Amino acid sequence: MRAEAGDGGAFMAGGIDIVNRMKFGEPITEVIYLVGLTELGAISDTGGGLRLGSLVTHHEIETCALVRARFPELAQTWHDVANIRIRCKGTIGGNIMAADPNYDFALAAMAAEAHLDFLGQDGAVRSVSAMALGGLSAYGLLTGITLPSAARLRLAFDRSLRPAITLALGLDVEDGKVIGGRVAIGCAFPAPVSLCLPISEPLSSREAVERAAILARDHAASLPEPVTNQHASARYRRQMIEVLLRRNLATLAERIT
Amino acid sequence: MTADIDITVTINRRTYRLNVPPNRIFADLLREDLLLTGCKIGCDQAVCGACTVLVDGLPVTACTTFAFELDGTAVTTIEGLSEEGMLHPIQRTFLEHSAFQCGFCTPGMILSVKALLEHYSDPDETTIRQWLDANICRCTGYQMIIEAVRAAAKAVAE
Repeated sequence: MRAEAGDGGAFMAGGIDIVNRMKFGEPITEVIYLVGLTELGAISDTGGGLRLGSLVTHHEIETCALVRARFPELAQTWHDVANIRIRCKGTIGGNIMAADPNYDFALAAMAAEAHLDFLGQDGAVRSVSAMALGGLSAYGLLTGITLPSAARLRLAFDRSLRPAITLALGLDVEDGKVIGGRVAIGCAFPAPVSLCLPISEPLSSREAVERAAILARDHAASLPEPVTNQHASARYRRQMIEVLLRRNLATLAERIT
Repeated sequence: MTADIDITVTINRRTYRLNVPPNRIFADLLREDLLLTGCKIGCDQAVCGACTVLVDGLPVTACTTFAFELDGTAVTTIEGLSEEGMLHPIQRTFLEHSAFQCGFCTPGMILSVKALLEHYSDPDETTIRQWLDANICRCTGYQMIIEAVRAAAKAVAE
């Protein structure tokens, strides 16, 4: 169907984003309505992690007992995302595929190093790292997002400086040590940006706290130039990315036992 | 563009079988075809909440919803809230607490409150503010609305 629809075709999940895009003149001539494909709306256990169907709504992320148990930071954060109407109708798949830097779920997927499953026009299923976000529509239909095992993943979200900056941080923890991490930044660039933290050797909780300032400074310096707009200047954004990252990294590392 | 679509939708307890263009916006259908003008169009971008209706009990912005999406659902607009000529308790408390002035935001506000009270029978102020934070009122300053919601919670519970 997507191929038949041609360049004017678009998948439609919750529809909030696509209707607004059409109102602003985007030449969408065919929509392929996905709601009703129940298999895309499931949340399932992957043995420690979670697979979230692309039609799972923000409200379900906020309220689902399984999500709350495995990733309480995610459920807690999603309590504040957008507003109740958008949370009830908007889907996490639509949120990612919109590729809007102000949207949140792509950041969560990047920070968690989630895998995105796509069904291509050739019928093949491809799994793509969320860190490789960009040009995703070429992969086909997003069917699900797989979050890795909650046992080794620590997540933090900071939306306190929205709409200037949003930040999501994911740390991989093994045997009480930080072995890797990722930062995803929203609102500050034309598209969501993510980078891996340069952690070359396992860090204890204390070492990670002590190195938070250096990691944050180096990370902020390595980012591309943020945008300047009515919400904040590029300089302010870069400084605040460093501040938010330092704070969240230290706080998250402190909790590791 | 695809041909018109047949939908069956229950609006305010009445079932409609409609044939709608695929790009027909639900707010326009309510206002122009069914003359249910209590659904207001403010921002037209899912931000202000004036067009809020309940779809299967959940608040939805009618201005960013295609009519075809409502197939098989039950919709409540402000016109469907009163029964047998009696105002709903939420409407009554809004009136008693002067929780509106121009009234443009009021239908969406009241329907959001109805959904809120179905989820939380006795919401605290934080929860009320959170549920209503995207229903914009430029007249009242919100305090009277919050007082009305607290009174409505009691009235609905009785």
